[in-house]
Amino acid sequence: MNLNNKDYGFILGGILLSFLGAFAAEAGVLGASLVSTLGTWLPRLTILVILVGLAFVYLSRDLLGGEIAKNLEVVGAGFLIYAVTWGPHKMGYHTGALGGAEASIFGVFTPGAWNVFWHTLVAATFGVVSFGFYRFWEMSQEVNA
Amino acid sequence: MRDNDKLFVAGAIAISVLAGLWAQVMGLEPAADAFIDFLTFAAVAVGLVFVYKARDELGGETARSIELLGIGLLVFVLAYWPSYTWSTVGNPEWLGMTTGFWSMLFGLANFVGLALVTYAFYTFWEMGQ
Repeated sequence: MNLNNKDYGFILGGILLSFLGAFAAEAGVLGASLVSTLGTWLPRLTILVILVGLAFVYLSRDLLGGEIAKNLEVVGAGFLIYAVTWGPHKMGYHTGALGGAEASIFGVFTPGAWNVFWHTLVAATFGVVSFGFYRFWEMSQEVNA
Repeated sequence: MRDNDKLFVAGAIAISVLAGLWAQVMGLEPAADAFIDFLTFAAVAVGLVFVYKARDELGGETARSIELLGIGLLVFVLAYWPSYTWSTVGNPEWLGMTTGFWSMLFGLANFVGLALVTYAFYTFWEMGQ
């Protein structure tokens, strides 16, 4: 691995934080209302953090240039689709597109159609990300050719 | 992006639309569709194989950034895969743990996974400086 100690610290710290949060909720250290608030806000913060990452992709494109920039754009495109479709996806659940089609502005289509569409889209989105990784691998073959 | 990269992105969106229309025609109900969520895991897993294969040959800072991207995605998908199945069946108590436990575990792990991805993008930017 090419990671430095700070990188390992972020990774292990992040995983530890997830389990600490979960056990704190289980033990009642975090109150029910706080858990509920975090349950609403964590996904929103997650989308925000992706957008911050995409800003770095945007900024690095011109700096890096060439093959790396092109590959990074493919990876970024996957995350961009995930970030921009997350809102309507969740809105689908909340307004009842997945459960009460009549209540929804998306009511033309059945809840089952939306369910399959959104979940296929997430899979396809990460297919795009993986395609970007394939491009990086392809680049590594050219570097060594 | 190259032209065939754009084609790949357009194809990914087109397949999702077609899958949705297919479910509409077949009259499918929303379900804990573990199969589609497994596809997400499979899509990420394929990418991780390429990360693993590319990193040593790229070496240095590029390899480090790619490894961070891969680890972030791995954390994300390990949380995403069960969490969507769990939320589709209505966030129940599961495996002896309360709803709050799973809500926090999945919510935080999703966040942490994508925060690591963003950190990886930051290291790419840092490399460009």
